Amino acid sequence: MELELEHITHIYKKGKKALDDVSLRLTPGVYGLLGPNGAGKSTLMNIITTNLIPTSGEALFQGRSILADNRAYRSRLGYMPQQQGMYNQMTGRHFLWYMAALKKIPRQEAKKRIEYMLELVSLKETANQRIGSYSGGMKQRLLIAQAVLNDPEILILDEPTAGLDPKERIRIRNFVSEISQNRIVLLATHVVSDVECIAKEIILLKQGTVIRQKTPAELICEMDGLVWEFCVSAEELADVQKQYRVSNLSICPEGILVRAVGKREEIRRRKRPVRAGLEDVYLYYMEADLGDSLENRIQSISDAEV
Amino acid sequence: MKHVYYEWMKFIHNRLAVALVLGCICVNLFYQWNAAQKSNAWLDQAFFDAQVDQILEMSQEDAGIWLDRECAWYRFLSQLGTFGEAALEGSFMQLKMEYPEVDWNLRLQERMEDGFDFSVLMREASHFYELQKRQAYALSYPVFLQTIQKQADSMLGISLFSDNEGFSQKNILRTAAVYETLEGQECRIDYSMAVSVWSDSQLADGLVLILILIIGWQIFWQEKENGLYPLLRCTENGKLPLAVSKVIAAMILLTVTTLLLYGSQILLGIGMYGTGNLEAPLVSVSEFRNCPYRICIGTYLLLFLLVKVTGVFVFGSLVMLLYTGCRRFGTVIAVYFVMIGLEFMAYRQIDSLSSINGLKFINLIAVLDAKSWFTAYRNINIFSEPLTVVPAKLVFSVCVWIVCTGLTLWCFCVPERKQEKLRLFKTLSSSVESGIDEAEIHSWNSHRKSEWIRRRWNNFGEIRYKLPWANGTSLICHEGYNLYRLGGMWLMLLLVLGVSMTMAEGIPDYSGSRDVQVYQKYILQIQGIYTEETEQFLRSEELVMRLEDPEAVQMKQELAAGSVTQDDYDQWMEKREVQIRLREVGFQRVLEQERLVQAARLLGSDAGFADADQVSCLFQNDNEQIQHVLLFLIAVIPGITWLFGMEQTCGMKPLIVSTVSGRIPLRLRKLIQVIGYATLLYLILFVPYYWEIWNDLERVPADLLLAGVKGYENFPLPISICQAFWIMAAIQYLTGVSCSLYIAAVTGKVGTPAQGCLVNFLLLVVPCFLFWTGLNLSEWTCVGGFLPSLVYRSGEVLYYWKYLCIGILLDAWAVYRILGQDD
Ligand SMILES: Nc1ncnc2c1ncn2[C@@H]1O[C@H](COP(=O)(O)OP(=O)(O)O)[C@@H](O)[C@H]1O
Ligand SMILES: [Mg+2]
Repeated sequence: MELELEHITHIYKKGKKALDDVSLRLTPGVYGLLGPNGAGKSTLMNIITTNLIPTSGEALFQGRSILADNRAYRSRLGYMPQQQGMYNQMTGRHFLWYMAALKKIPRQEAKKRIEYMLELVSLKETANQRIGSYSGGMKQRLLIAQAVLNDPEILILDEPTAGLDPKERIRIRNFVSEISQNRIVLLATHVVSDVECIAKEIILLKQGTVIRQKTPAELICEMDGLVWEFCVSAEELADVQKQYRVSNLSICPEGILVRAVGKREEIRRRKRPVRAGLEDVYLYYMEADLGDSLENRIQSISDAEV
Repeated sequence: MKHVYYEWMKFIHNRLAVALVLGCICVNLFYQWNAAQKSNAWLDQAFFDAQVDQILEMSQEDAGIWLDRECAWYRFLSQLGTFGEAALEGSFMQLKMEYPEVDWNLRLQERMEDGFDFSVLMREASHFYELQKRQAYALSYPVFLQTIQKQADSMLGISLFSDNEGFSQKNILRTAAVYETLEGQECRIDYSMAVSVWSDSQLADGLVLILILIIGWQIFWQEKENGLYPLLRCTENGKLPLAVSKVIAAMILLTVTTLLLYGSQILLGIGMYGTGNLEAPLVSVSEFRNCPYRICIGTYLLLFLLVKVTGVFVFGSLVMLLYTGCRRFGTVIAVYFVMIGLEFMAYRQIDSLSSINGLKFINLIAVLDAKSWFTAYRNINIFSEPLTVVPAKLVFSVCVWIVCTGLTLWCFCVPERKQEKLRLFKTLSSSVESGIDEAEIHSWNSHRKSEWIRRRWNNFGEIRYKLPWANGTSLICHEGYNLYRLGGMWLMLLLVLGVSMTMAEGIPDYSGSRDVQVYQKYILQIQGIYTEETEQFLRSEELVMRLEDPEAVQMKQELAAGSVTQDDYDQWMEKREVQIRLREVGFQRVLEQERLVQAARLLGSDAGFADADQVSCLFQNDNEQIQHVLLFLIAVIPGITWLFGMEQTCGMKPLIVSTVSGRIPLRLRKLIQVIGYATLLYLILFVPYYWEIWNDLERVPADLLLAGVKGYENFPLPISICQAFWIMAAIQYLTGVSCSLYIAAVTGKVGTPAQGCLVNFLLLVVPCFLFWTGLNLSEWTCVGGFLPSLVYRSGEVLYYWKYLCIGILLDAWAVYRILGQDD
């Protein structure tokens, strides 16, 4: 099973270039699509779900264009859109039945799946209430339940954890990792911790281009020697934050412990190197306007590899 | 002020809204232009002005004589054109005798030398006839004023004996006093035709009612729909200042729109016919004879615009209130149109002298009808005190405006409590269905009212979710559920059913007048296929009428022979004459019908007599039919736009579209539901209506040829009354269905249900509404499809083909749009 994107470019009607020559190969496993708001994640997902037809390039599933045999492709698809609104008048259970009808799941199977999914996302008790009365987390869970209702081979989740509290986040993360066997899961988010531990590969998307596609471990390894810690006083903090790419702050006996990303010569302070986390990777690539350009930075990583 | 500016920019950037406004203006202009072209095709403005100038140089008497002479001359010329040389004898001599001062021979010679073009001549003649009419009217105006005073005097004399303090007494006194102030106004003839062009604003009125809805939607509903209200309200200026600026922006937009709409019409009129003399008194125009104000045409123009703006403000404030007060767009639309319908009925049906004429004059429609402010002087009967209409209207408008605007501001600032109250529609719909609302259950629980009810409710809930439409994988059931339950259309069906039941009245009994009774009696005797017997019967009746029947002949002979005395004969004659006089009118109608029947026998042998009055209840009561059509459209549009726009409103479209059946199969199911809904509505609305009529039909043998019945003699096809009925019903139904498809397609194109509603109301409801008010747009709009019986009368069967073609094209487009969109 393989989903391939070949040189996909998408330009919106008003001339906005949302995706620029994106090529990806996806095989079963969880892919974390990381990027800031406006990076083009939703656009990419809309193309994969055939909601949008790309300006140029092609998406292939099992070697065939997804637009060619559209319905067969869609029957293997599960999609959770970025949340906007829902059918507020429907009840949760009814919504799932509606989706089952749309996904052409046979009645007996649908019944089993729906009860199972409701149990799984802990909505059993509230299933007969109107969606309008649900909290944000409940809606998100319902949308996820809907996405996996037809046991899809390709699961597309667009910011499934947006607006959720930490507990719900963890639940959803666990849920995704549980169901990810034997299917391609593409999970878009701008929160690194959502995908840090469950992703087979991380795709870093920025301003419409894929700047990195590697396993988390590889990405972290690349960053060796680029993450530093040092102490500053409270007065210095503001300056330091302006000067460096700060990924974390914590309290230490001498003042404030700053964790910053950058090359050795960039950080002109007494410092000690620390192990990088995925959070640092994300910060390193995404905050390009500070210091040198992205190309330089990628170059510097390649240099380090050499 | 900044907010006002933002609202403006928002409006201007909304292409749909701007396009609708501009589109309305263009449609209005085109219609007015077309209508004016049709009715004033003869007018050559330069020629007209030249004649007017000539007249203005004469004294009034001279002008009168000159015009009479010219008109006589043109009448003669037209006779010459029609009858040729023969006219020279009679008419020419008469002309010479009446006006010996002119050398007519010379004039005729000159005219012949110029070349005798009959059409040019007829056009020229029309100018003189028009001028003569104006001149005669100008002379009659002072007489009219005097008549009023005289009438008042004489009425006062009579009413001395009746109640002195009554309304009519005071009314007469007041009226006389008002018209007394007009004494001495001189009517002029040099005004422009433009006055009539801009005064007739029915179409613009209909359009403006929708434009108000659109502007209100843009300013008050869009953000509400997008859920931005909570956000806006908690900003610093989010409550009263924002509300005020929204109101101001709306009012400015409304003013601009109104001025554009009506102003463009005025400019069109002036462009076509020139300004004329703007200082001429308004009463110079014969339509405004009863105008009680001493104003000139120029002032009228300004006042007209002002009144229109006032009317639009009143409606605008109502719409703002509805938008801020109601939760559902459907409610807004329903309340708005029901209100307009009721007001219009009151305006139209109530007699201007009845004791509830206040409802007629202090009326929203009356406010908007600016011309009516100037065409009559009326007093309202308020506890038998006369209250002059125009100031009353003004006060009414201002009051409505202030109250509605105030309430709008209040609703905007105090949202939550208010909304709970206005949830009536929804609460009603859900509580009627389930008996108990879930929310209520919760509150009961919290009050620990009854565990029993809770358990019952839960059981009920369980059952509810086992029902096939809520719990199944049939898409079509789901869409039905979406339409009827979620969209609340089941309630709509019930409402429509109720209304339809009360509206189905059958044929009213109108055997009241004697002539009708006689006619009905005759028809009763001879109804059915026209045969020899029928003919014999009619001939013998004819003889009776002409006093040539055997009895009369015998009487005459006996009188001549002397066996009957003159007295006896006279007595007999008297009886006979009474009899004849009683039957005459009715019999004339029968004879007239006989001629049609005979003509129709050429089409087929089934021609014969049927009660034309009753047949007209089937094919000629446009008013009732269009009311049913209006109801149909008003009920069908919200349902369809909801069903086809629901994904869009809640942003679920990408998800739905990415499922297996989310495209063509889903839309096909929706379409089937829509057709089902339209069918249901059609059945609910029209079956009781027609059923009652068919039940009441007597004296109408249904298998007679339609063309043999009076009123349908132009219809060239040999179909029977029964067939005609079924064809009418079928075409009506098909039009309904194709309109539904069309509505669905338009909704898919414009986006949300609210937008779809607005556009469709403009395209479909407005023409029907205008038809109801008397403006016939049936050639160009869906009205013709909904009233196929119009063709039975005009006989222009080609229209059916036109409709068929347009219908098929539109529906093909619609189905293509709906099914073939993005696959
Ligand atoms: N319908 C649209 N029309 C025009 N531009 C759009 C549209 N949707 C998104 N964009 C633009 O495309 C870019 C990518 O958007 P999106 O894919 O939604 O980003 P993300 O989901 O990563 O936050 C953004 O800059 C956005 O402004
Ligand atoms: Mg997004």
